[in-house]
Amino acid sequence: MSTIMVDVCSVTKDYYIGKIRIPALRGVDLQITSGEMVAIMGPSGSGKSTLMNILGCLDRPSGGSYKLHGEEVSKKNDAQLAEIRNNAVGFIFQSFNLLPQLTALENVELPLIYRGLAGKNRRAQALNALVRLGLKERLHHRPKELSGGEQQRVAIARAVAAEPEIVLADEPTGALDSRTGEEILALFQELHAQGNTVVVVTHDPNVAYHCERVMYLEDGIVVANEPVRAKDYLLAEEVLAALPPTGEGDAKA
Amino acid sequence: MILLLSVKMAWRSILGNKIRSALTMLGVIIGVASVITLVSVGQGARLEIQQHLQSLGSNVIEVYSHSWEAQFTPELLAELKDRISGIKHIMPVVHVGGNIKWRNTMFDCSGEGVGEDFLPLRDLELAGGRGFTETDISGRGRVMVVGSIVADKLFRGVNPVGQEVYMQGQRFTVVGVLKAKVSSDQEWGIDRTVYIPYSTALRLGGNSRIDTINIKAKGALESSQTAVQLKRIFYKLYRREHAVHVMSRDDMIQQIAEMNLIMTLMLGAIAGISLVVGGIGIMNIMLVSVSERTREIGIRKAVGAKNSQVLGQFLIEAVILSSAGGIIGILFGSGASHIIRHFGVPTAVTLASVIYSFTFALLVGIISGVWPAAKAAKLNPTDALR
Repeated sequence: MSTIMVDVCSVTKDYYIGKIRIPALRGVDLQITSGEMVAIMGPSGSGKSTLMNILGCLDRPSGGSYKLHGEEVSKKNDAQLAEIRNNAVGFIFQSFNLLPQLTALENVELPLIYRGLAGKNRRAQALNALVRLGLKERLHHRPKELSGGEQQRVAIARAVAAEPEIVLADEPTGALDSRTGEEILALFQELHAQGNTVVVVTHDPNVAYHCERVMYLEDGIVVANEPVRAKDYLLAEEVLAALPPTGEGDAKA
Repeated sequence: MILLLSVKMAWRSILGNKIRSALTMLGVIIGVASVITLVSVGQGARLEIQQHLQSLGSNVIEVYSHSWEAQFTPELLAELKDRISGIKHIMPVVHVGGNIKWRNTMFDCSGEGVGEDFLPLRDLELAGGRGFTETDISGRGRVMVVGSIVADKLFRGVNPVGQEVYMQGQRFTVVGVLKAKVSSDQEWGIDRTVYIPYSTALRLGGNSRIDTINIKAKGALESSQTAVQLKRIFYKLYRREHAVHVMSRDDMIQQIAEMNLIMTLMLGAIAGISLVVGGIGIMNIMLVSVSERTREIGIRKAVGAKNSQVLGQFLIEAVILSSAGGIIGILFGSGASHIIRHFGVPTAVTLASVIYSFTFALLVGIISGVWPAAKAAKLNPTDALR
């Protein structure tokens, strides 16, 4: 069952401020097998969020190739990318990105609506996802009426309700207190245990420790890529400490 | 199915942001309502002029004195009738102040001193009593014929014929009542007029003089011929171009047509301005709300909405808001025109103004709603979410 889910080969991404080219990714190679749980770490400005956006098809690479489940993504048009985002990817944002005028249930239904699922099925599927995330009592609350942890759980429900091939989370615990963060992490581990492919961007070593493999980005290149050894909690911090001091790269995150 | 969902989503979004929706609709409402109201006022005035024109007799020529040297005398009138073969009736007209009093009730109306031919000349008909006789005219009789509204409103059920009324302190006996000429109840006009012999009228005012002549020609052709002959005679008489103003019904129709054109242009311009102002209001709100909603567009695209799906939602939203606003605007505009009519200004709502203003508001609403949304939808989800 070890098919390659994500195959990124010398991907670059440049931003332009006026005519000045700012490289955010400078040739990233990365492979993630199906069912794996990977953390992407790095200081701010290292390009980890940029990489994440490309993995989630929210943005296109400037160069290189990105194959998702064997399919070249970098050449697809807008509508095709929208379909991939809709069907294959579940994306979780640091700031949740829920629609404020919709209830929790309606937010979770949103990707299913765009997929064209009919009413009853759609509702059942969304309901199921929310129940799995312990939000049975919060179905008809709007985001404003929910705590940060609950909002993030709604966002996760939205990501997994569509049963994506890969779950991508960009700093999912960044806006939460540590206890709620732990709960959210446990949810990701549960997703992983159910066989989902999970990629988490974080700068929190504790989050990385919960993953199977950690990838370190710095100045737009992968500087380390190693498995997390069981119970080897210190490793993350060791590796971080071993990295050269940050600040020289101005790349945009 | 997809359409139904887009409608549902648009509806949610409208309800989810009531103030924004209300402001957008307000622009449409103001634009549509003001156009309908303004055009209805213009149309009402036009209809009233038409009615007045109809109330004048056919083939009537009016001659006004424009200077003191142009004095019309009964002898001059007789001479004119002899010299111009196209004249069927001719009479002097003396305008008199119109308050009359009956049994201590004052009544506001206009008064005219006329000749014995005034009934056929003005195409008037008697409902009761009689008109004026030659003796009434020559003997400066204190007799009066009253219009239908005067009869209804002042005498209220009492037969006016034989009643005594006072006008400028003089006692008159009502000898005749006219049939209604115009259906609507107007402040001025033909049905709210009282008639007395012109000879009596000349006495009433002290220094009154005959400043108007009414002529009825034998037919349409004679009417224009007579007008030309009159102009020639008066030019010879006074050696001046504008001592006397001769206006045939054709002239009047032409003048009214010109007036109508000016009024239409003016009202059209005002209506156009209010539509544009309303349109700018809509655009303003739509533009602001779209930049506000770029994030929403980003979120929708991030979970897999295609550009067309995002646009569909915005299109439907704009259609719902603009058409709801348009319908409310039509109701408001019709209501306003109704209220204005109650204050005595004639109004008439036209179908064209309803259709044009509604269509325009709908177009502006849709374009200003969809165009910026189309721009936002083209963004990468990451850029839209930033």
